Amino acid sequence: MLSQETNVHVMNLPLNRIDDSAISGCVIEYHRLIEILEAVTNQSVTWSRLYDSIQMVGASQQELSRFLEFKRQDRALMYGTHVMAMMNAASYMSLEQWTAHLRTLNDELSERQEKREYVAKANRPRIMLTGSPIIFPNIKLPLLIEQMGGILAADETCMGERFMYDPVVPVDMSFNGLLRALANRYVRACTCPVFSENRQRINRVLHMVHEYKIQGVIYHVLRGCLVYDYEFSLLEQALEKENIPVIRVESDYNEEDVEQLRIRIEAFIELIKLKELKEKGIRSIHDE
Amino acid sequence: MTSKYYAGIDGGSTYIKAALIQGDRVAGTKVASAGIDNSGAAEQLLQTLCQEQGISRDAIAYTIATGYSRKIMDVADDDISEITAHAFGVRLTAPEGYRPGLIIDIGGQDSKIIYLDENYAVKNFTMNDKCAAGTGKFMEVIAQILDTTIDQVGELAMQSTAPCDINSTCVVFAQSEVISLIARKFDRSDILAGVHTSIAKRIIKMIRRSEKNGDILMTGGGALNIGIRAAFEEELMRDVYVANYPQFNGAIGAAVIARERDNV
Repeated sequence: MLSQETNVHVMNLPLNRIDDSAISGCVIEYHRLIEILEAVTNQSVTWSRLYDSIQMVGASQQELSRFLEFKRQDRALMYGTHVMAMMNAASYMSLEQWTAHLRTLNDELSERQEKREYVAKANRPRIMLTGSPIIFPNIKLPLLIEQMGGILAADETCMGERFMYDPVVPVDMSFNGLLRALANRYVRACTCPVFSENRQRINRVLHMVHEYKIQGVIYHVLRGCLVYDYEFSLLEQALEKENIPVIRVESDYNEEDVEQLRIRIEAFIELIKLKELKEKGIRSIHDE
Repeated sequence: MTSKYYAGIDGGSTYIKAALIQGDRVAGTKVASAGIDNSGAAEQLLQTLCQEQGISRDAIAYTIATGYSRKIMDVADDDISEITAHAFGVRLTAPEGYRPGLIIDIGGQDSKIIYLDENYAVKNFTMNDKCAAGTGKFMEVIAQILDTTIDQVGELAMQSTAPCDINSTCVVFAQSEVISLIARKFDRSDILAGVHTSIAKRIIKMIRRSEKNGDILMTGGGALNIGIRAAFEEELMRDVYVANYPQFNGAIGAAVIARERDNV
């Protein structure tokens, strides 16, 4: 359908990304893509251009890792909804521009930190969002989480920090070596559940739960994005062992289900608040 | 301190329910149709409840609203989600000697499954509010087609000896299926028993795991229907109990939360 609108080239990516043969297969696919790109753009993909691009993405990632340091703190310096919008922006503008803006933002966050200017009270439940991507302007879920009294402290989604998290690390500096490094980063390290063996994503979520002191996980299933729906029960089991509550919410790009999402998120945040009161042993509405 | 009164209002999709509690005693409950002026109707209910108890309106120390219209209830001091309200409600409404681990709530326009831990705290929940199948509204539509009313369908279904099979999960399709069953001269109670089984099956799909800890308790207007309860027992192969004041469980829960808030 898309090919009726524009040129389309289909890449054949491996379902099993762990085997080394998968990486070799990707390199062949990249070569095919390069041929097509060169034909369409009338420019050539040279070693130095490829290397410079890798360096440029690396610079963005460095800036992002500085940003993530701010995000790991107990008190939020910025709303998670704004963070999601900011991360989304990387897909809509040139990476150099984005990195420059991120640098400005980081400097501002550093000032806010010195002045202890926090955007939310410390007692807001720290929520993590994972599952199908949150794509601007469909930011119902982050907005509702923060409207209902939570703070969106982290996300494990492909439009969030995941797509910028791992660096490209070339070991062999030949042209093919650079392509192998790309495949290692964008296929082998990718935690999207379209790939067959995906313990990596579960581990990553558990790791983030500890790193960001997460109290509850909201699992987003976009209608039609089935792979995430299948993976939910594995993640639910893993989180149950860690005593972290999780709910699955199904949604789409319409606005009509906002109230139905609201009641679920509201109840989930109440659940976390009550659980926390009980764990802290405060005389609460749980004591009879 | 137990002499203080607390109120809960459950602004549902079809009815507004109000409950007044004093200590662990449910002092009174009242219901009215949900009109346009939800808050005004709720105030009316509270005043009637106070009159019945012979107390002044100011005697209510704290009021909490829940249900669809919880955010627009000006008469309440605060609001809470239905899920939490139902979990608190069963502390007062569970029949003596039973400890609920799973709540099945059938409301006018949604149904919920709520898992509770050993302290009655919500562990997890599932809701169906996107599809009318498995709700009170569905039952109302079917009752109308079968020339009866919603408060009689349960009894009628219990008279069935050979329940019909209803395959459609969608209200609109189930409706035409029921009409075709009537045309084929099936007995009304057999059709109703079939409808109840299909509702129970539909809701049981939301129960993803069997909760062995604690009893299964039904709340909401749907719990008043003995036919649905029988269908649940048949499908789950477990005893299913009905909360006291099932229709008011949300309102009573809100009142319990009002009491706890006031005493913190």
